[in-house]
Amino acid sequence: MSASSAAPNWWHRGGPAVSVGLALALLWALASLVIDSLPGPADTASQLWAMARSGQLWSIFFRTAGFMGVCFAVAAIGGVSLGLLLGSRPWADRGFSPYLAALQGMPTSMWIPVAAIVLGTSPASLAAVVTIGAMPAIMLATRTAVKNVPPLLIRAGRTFGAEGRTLRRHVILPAALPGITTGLELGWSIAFRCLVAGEIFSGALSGTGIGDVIQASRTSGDLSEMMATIIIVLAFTLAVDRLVFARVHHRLRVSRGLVDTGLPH
Amino acid sequence: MGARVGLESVTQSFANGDGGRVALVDVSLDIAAGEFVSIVGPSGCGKSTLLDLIAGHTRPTAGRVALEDADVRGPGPDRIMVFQEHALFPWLSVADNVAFGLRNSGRSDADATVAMWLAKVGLTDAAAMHPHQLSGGMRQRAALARAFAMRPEVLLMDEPFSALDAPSRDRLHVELQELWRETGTTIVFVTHNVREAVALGDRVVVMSSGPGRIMGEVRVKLPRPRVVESERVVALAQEARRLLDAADQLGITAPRTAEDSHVSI
Repeated sequence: MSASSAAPNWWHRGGPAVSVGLALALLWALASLVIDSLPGPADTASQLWAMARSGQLWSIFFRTAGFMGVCFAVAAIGGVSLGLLLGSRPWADRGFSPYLAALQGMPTSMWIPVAAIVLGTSPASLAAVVTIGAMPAIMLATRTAVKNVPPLLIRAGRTFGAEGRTLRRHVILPAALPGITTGLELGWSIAFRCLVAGEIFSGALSGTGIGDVIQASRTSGDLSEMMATIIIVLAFTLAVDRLVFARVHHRLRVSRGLVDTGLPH
Repeated sequence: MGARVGLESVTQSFANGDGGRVALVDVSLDIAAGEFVSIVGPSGCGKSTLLDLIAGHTRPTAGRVALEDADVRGPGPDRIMVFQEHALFPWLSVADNVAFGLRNSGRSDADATVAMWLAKVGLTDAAAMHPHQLSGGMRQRAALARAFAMRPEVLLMDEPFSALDAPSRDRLHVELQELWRETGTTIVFVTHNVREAVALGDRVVVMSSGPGRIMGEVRVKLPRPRVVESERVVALAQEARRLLDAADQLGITAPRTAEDSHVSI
């Protein structure tokens, strides 16, 4: 490790992020001075405090986490397994990939009106759109990652007795994991966009409460609750990125020698 | 123990864009059980195709490839390939890489076997490391341990040391001869380095390119372990060199006097 100075480790790791965060808050404060209708950090903080005391903050946070958690888990399992299948079956790949690419390019939220009328305006209807909408991106990324596995590793796997399922489970999947993780990250952000699009389309569709806030600020014109909710969602996505995706990426890079740890070669 | 390998008038051609490419024409070669055969030849002489045929990764267009008296019908744990690039799995530790094939073939004593072979190649201390943390020589040693741990009857080596620095290569030459003597494995060693071929092999088979065929062979009856610098190895390498020059289809007629005959292309 090349600790450049005597600075404590937490500052070395978290310092840049904290500094940038403070700078952004300052910019926000300045902007709110100029724009009358935009609540500043202080107003938003007191709104957050009120929401925390009334329980609304925790309710939005955990209901969002629950909704996204379930939808994303299903999308991830389905998308990765179908993507592995596409990667190993050229016929299926040629048949499905053009349509998957088209679906991935199209904003998933366009399905929401369809689902709302076919399935009704229940959380299950939006959950279906969010889940299925995130899958093409995950499938395509998994397929590409599988196709990019070095043939030498597959030959080595075959030489050492891995065929069929064993080869897929113990060689192709781990070799493709970095690419699959990128696909999961993309699927996650598509899913989240789709959730909020559902809320804007028709009120409390996901049952997370984000839609109620949007509806309230739309009628009252007061944005402080909206800004507080944005902060809650930002905190949630930040936590997911730092605790899940960033860690997984880092571990994958370290175990594959893509981080220079200063060891002799 | 090693097994006998026989190729009988093997012809191999590959279909590609413009009509196909003939890699091997009428190649017959008998390799005795426990023999160490080196194969040298210019690029594109079908050396690697020969190994693929014995490994069972491809089937001959015409002719017969046999192990003992049975035709080779596909890959099997009795024939293990060692590649030019180590082809270790980057996400597994050295010990898990060595254990990979053993676990696939369901051997119960995998852990003990792994420990034994890591000790034999001097990698006991590196057991928990990942391939990227090792030097080139250590990686190829780990690849050797992974191959020998399978107790193959035939070891197929495709220019395994050509990417290594000279000192590592010289050490591995001696270590490989010791492992071979200890295990009695049949070894087919493909290289483009004539001196390496003479230092390692019981005989050196010289191939020509375009299409690949066997030009002749040189028997090596020098005492082991041999090193590439030994005068008798160098002298014998000149004999093989002459065969190879005749085989060289590229028509390079650089003068090879006694002084510069050490050049090994």
